[in-house]
Amino acid sequence: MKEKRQHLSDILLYLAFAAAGILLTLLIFLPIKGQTPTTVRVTVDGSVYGTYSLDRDQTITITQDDGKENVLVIEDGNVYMKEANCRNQICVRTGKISRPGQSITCLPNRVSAVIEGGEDNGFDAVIR
Amino acid sequence: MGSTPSSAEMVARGALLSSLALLFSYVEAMIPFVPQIPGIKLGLANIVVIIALYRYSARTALVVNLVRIFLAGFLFSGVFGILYSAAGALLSLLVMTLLKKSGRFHLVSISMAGGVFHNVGQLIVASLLVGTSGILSYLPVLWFVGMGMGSLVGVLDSLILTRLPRGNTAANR
Repeated sequence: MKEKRQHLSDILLYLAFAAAGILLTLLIFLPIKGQTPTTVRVTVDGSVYGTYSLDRDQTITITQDDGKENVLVIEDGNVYMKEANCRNQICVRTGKISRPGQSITCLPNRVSAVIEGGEDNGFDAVIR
Repeated sequence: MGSTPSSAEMVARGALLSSLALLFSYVEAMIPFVPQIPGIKLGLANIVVIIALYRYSARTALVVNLVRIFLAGFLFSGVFGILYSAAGALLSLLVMTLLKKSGRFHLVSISMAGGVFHNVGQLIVASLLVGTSGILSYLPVLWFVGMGMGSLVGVLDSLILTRLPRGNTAANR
């Protein structure tokens, strides 16, 4: 066996595999962290009411048959509940949300808005 | 390696190594390793496959591997298990044979590469069967686990090969 000469190629092989493994890890996990918020999904009583892009400023009035009403505003990539005719106003006091996974919930009116991550936007990652 | 052993000898040797590999598969099937992540195993049967590859030939290793996969598959894991293991084992054996042919690498390194590609092969089949690329998020874990387990198997094999008597084969006579 040519033991001596083998050492270098073996070390190189291990380094190559380790590097490839790290590269794979980065390739697979970076896009998930780099997701940017693009849509907000509004559900009423568990069923989807609508999905709206955060890119366009708009005001969504969610009206229900029994008079329950929520006013959701999308402004500069932020989402907030402007008005709600519910008892506790927790949803209004939640304030602005903008990152994927964040949500505003109005429990009395059974309305919720969840921000969903969109496509990968490179390395402009949001650390959560 | 110069003279060719008789076919009876090859059959006997193949059967012996296959049953040994099958036994390792059985032992491994009894050890629950990391239940959350499927596919993390020691790869004990690869000990025998690599011995077949080093002491005899790539062909012997291939036969031993295939016999082992089909028997262990039907006995322990089912048809899909066979698909997974076959893909992993064949890719792994291919990589190891090529690396060994190059003559530049130590047994431990070759076994390490084999361990990695065993997992890669399995994951390719898994993602084809499941039809989602989400399963690829297992790849980083399985890649490094493959490196570790493959190296371990390689160390065991180099210990075994230095102690295993060459035996009364045609090549030795």
